[in-house]
Amino acid sequence: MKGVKRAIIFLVLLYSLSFGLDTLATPDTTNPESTPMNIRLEAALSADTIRLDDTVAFTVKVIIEGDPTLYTIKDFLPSVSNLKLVGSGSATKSESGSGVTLSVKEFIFKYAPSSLGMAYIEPTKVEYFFSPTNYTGQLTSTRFSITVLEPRKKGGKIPIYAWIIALVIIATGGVFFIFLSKRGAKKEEVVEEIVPVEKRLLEELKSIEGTRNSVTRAQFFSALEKILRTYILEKYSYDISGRSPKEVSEKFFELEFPESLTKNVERFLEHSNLVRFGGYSADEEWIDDALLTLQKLLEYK
Amino acid sequence: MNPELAAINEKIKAESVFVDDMLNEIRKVIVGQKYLIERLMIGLLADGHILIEGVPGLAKTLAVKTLADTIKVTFHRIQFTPDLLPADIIGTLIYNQQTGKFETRKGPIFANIILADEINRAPAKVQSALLEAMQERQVSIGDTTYKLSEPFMVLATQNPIEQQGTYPLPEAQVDRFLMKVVITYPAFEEEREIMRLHTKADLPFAKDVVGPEDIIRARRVVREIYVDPKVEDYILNIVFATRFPEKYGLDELRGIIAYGASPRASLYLRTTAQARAFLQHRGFVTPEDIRAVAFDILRHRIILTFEAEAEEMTSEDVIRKILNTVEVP
Repeated sequence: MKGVKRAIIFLVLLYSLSFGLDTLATPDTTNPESTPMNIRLEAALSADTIRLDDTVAFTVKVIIEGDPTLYTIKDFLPSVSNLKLVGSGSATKSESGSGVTLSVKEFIFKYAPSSLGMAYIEPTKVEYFFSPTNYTGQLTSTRFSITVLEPRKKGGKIPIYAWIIALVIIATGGVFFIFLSKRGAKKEEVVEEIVPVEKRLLEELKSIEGTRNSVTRAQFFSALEKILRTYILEKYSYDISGRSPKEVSEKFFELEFPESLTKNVERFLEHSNLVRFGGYSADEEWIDDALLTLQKLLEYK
Repeated sequence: MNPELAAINEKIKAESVFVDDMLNEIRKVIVGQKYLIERLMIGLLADGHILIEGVPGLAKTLAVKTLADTIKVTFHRIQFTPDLLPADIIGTLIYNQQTGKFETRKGPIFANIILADEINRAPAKVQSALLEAMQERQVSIGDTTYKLSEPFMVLATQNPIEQQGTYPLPEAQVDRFLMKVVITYPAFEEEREIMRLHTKADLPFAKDVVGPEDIIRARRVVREIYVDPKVEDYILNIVFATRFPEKYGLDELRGIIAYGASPRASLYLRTTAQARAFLQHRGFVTPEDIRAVAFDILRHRIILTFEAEAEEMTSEDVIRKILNTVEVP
């Protein structure tokens, strides 16, 4: 029974992703003022009503017409309420047709509801940098709301009509799968696998380390603190923005991190505050400590 | 490090030493209420008045009296009642039969720290008299205008549960308070300690550890605390989000806020954050300072619509949404 359900979910997801989620959600196009070149954003939900024991996929697509290497998309994380992030991933697709290359950077966030009632995904802001003109722009989606219903009753019999619907979906999915396979030959498609947050942030940490002597100390520490914020938010659904080093330290204690690592994180945040807001110029030792602390944190567990 | 900022940091560390002595004395008498005590100290250092809201019995009055006890200043408590008159607060001219002249009898407003207990029990004209004195820092009795002595601070309390026979303060007058502090019940262990401490034969008391000149000097030093442009931007973004929420992606607040916070809010967010940094012996302000005081500065400065009331939304909900949305530097 579980196998059949999973197969149905897989086929429905495949079907939805292949068609830009047109059938299951309403795409949202951003303010044209913020798109000086050929870049736009579409965001969609896999469902607007889910059960408490279900998950919902929130897909953000950044569509670039032309050379995608000219754009740098900054990392982002949607702000949500009554939802827990359970997985995320990204993929890049490109296709050519009529002499125009269309690149689609797709970010998928998978959420599980925390309680019954309403859940929300606040307007998601995606910042991009257009290198030829040094232009930094922002794309924003609309707000999405999700109704969270009672969880499914376990052990209940599945009514006959549900079986019929499932069969129809499988059959339709099969037809589209064959159709897509044929069409796929015309497209060049690159799909990235889901990268764990630790791995992604360790790579980011390395690239930030490379900017050690090319940016100001305040900018450097801001970038490092952003890594810490992103990690704690994605991994533990806790936002440390605007929290004092002491508060963050208490949270680390709650999360049962080793005492030495907790103290190092607290010291890093104190140094970060001094450098970013107190006009202090960090010496090399502070920077080395900060890099080492973040590396240890990302490699922990 | 910038030598100017280094000098400010050193100065703050030296000047803020008395804060710990005051807090130690206050903690001898008040158990818990860390939030209230911190706000009282912020108000004192930022040179502003505070409106305290909480149910009876939360040590509001005791906290204020204890704060006054730690400073060598005069303290008066005024119990607001429906039959109170402006002259009962300000003072009046009394005819002296022996000299045949009018003599000035100054009211309880002539003190450094005033506790206006249950301010919403007195009618509007009495509230006005107090609020005007708070704003102008001077009062007129007969033809003479008297300056109120520095430091001058009014701490007003109001009870949120009884509405009958009260005169709610108008929004424009509430705006004159630097902060509106809402306090709640103590924690379980705190209440146990309160029980034990305040049922002893010898009740604890706080002694004066600073003079008024220390407070006046500290107020000047507080204004020198460094506020980075990034932190200033953060303040402005928070305040502007109360006026133009849709520009900050807060479309759901459109139709909820009738009037956003005034420039006074930006000003007060800055000074109270500086005072908070001073309490922590820091020579610079961090975004955490802003977030810590945001509710107290903004809750009485955001006016909500009827639609918000219908949805049972409070200004605290609005502030929470704004703080969760506006990017922290």
